[in-house]
Amino acid sequence: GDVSLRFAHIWAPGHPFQTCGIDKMAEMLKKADVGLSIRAYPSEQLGTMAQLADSVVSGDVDMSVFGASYLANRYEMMNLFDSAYVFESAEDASKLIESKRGAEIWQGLLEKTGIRRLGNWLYGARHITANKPVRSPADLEGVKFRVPDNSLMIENARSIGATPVPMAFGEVYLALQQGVIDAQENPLTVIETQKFTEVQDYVSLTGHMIQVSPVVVSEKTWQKLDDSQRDTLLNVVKGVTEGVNECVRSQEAALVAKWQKDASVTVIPADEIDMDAFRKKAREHISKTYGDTEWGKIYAEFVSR
Amino acid sequence: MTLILLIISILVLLAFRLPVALALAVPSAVYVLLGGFSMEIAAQRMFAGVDSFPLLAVPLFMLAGALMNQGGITERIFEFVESALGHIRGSLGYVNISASVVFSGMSGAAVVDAAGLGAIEIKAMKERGYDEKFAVGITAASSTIGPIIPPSIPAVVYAVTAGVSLGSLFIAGVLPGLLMALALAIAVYVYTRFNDVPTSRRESAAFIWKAFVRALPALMAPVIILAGIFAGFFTPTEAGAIAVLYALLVAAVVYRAITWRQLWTVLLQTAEMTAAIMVIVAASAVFSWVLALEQAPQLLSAAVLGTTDSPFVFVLLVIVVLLLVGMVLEPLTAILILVPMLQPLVRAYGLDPVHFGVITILALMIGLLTPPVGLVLYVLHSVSGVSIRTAIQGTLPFLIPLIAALLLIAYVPQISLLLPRYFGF
Amino acid sequence: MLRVVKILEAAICVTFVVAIVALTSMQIVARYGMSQPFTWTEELSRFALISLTFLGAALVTGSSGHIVVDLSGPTKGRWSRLVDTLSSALVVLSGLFLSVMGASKALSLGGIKASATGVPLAALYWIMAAGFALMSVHALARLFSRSGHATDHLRGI
Ligand code: NA
Ligand code: NA
Repeated sequence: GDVSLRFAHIWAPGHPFQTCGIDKMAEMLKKADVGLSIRAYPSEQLGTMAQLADSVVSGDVDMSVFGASYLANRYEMMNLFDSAYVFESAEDASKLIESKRGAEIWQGLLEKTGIRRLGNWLYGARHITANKPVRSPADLEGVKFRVPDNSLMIENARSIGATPVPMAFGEVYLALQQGVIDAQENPLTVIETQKFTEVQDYVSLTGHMIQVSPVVVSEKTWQKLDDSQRDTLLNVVKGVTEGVNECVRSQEAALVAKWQKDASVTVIPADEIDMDAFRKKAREHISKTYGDTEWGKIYAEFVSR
Repeated sequence: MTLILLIISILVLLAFRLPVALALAVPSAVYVLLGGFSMEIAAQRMFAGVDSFPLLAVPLFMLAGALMNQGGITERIFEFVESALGHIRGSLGYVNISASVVFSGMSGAAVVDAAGLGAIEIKAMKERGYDEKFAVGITAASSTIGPIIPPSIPAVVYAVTAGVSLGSLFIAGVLPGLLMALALAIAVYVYTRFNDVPTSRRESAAFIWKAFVRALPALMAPVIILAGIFAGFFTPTEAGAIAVLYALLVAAVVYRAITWRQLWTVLLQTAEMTAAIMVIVAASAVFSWVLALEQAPQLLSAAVLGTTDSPFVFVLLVIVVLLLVGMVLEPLTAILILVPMLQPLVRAYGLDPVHFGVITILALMIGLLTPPVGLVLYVLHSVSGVSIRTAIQGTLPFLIPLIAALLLIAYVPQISLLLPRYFGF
Repeated sequence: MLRVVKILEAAICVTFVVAIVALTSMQIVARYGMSQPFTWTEELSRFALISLTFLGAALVTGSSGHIVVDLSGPTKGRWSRLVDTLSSALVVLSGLFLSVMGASKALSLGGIKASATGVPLAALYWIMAAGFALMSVHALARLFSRSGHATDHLRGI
């Protein structure tokens, strides 16, 4: 029968996930005419990321798109995708995500949690803002570096040489302005929407995490769909993926260009950053810290290709 | 339609004196169960409602307030300000407002002001022979200054939700907060013209100086808190802990006004007041999840806002909607649900999002004073024993100066935007 | 028996309040005094607040401190007593109902642990379930007590 899918996420209605992803999906589903439609709930209306993970598992929310590591307390393997310097680029990320090993991981996610992955959308790379240029791990020594309250993010910060300070997102702006903390990291779009450029002098394009977010459906919902609905949904998610990725890339490029033009903040481009030093330090730290875990082993193996 | 049934059943349960938390949570939980959702979702929403770091400011500033009460700190602030202003007709009305302005520099939420200062203000005013309704009304109304003058928890939530600069929004609140104080002071003046109010005698300069010295450790509290935040020693939430430690130091060491037994009582009181309020926050999270799910706020405002292309009318409509929404929703929840939806309209009408933030927060703060879900009324009822009915009747007249200030702030953007522009935001 | 429960509830809730103060203060001190600030104080203090909320809900039921919309004022008489009895009975049922909700969530979580502290999330939902169950116990006790506090119960801390 006809199914209306509740697609909830945490980003603003203007985020590419909504405008270039979900809105386009809604159009395509309407055209496909298989009795599927989408009702979007942006901006944490139905909960934060961790809460939405709960709700997708219980089937109270049908679809969502996640930062992978938010699924890690249910399926530790998800840490792999958000670990520091695991990927060199977005293309590199899809090499793992769409590989045979990737398929096994997504199957593991389904079996462990009841969350079915349909595709992955580029969220962007995370970069560092600080009041000094960051060109090598040495520049981060003793720097109080805000991270989300999440054990992987804490280790990621340590792995690039910083001193992690877990802090709630809503406190970051004032904490930066008042010097409670020295630096933070986020994708460029977040840096812009949170106006961190007002209280920080430099954005260093370290790209220490390249995040490609899984787009998921609750298995409880999936089991209610007929074959043609399943095929259509899968195709629609994949069909908008390149568009979303393109939107994210052009938005990031536009932001860098804007900052360079209005000089609200000094951008340290990637080619002025000692990426090899960052990668080496991060990969050693992560491989050592998580060497005993299943995902840690895959990390070590993947980065030493 | 079913949503209307839900709201009616909440109102019926409230009428049968069921605790507000249960009256909100149970019908909402039944609603989601009947809607085919899982057993787990209601529990998850209640958990999510209180799982927030900034909310830690509630017990912290409440405890600080209770310690200041028990340890004679608030009293000494009162003695000092009253010694200076006592000869004015209706002085405690002005003292009440000034105390809230001072306190707003260390508090980020109206309920915290009400819980911290409310008890002593109402007690003092009743002892001096002020009408109970007047006392509770001016206390409730002045508590809304707290989240307008920085620090402010609603401002944090708004800034994050709307994607505006928090620093800008903080500083934008300073002048509107002072304007609210002025509007309330005018209301007190008008009241004293038409009512019999007590007046104390004029004190000598020496007496005032003595009261000032006695109150100095207490008066230092907001200075330490604000300087600490703006010098970057701690975050606004952490400032709550500093406030507690400082109040404890002053009460126990400087004033020697607290025993172990009293400390236990204060802690237990804080635990009970925190739980009584937070369990409502938890319950309203279930209710607001249902509202979000049914896209009720969007439908409502689409119907209301689709009718005009004038920014003047739009702002007026928004204020009306926010005042109505504030009657049933807790402000943070209302911000989280409504602000993302209003942002495109704010841009379409060419309004400044920071200015709009001040309007939104102030309008929702007024909602804290209006039944059926008016947390400040409940807090004052809890801490002072004044009946809810008296609290409502006493507060009603003070909505006039507050709404007047709101309209002035809404239609004169410079009041909000002068300082942010001066500081280069 | 109920007295012991009340004292225990009070002691635990006060401990949570003290913990919130201590953890938040430690967070500030650790940021200045140590090269590696604590990474678990934020999460643990949030969990203390959550536990305080739900266990405190029971404590507050025991001390008649829940916030109610009381538009009628302190009226006495048969009608008022009837409303009080009905309200207490509704609290008993509501507490049980919400307790079942909390327990079902706890059961569904299995061994999932919080990110920074490793606290099993189910434990917090068991506290929620226990808090609501104890709420029912307190309301039930009032329903059967004849000590005559019927008119001023649920009216302020
Ligand atoms: Na006041
Ligand atoms: Na304030």
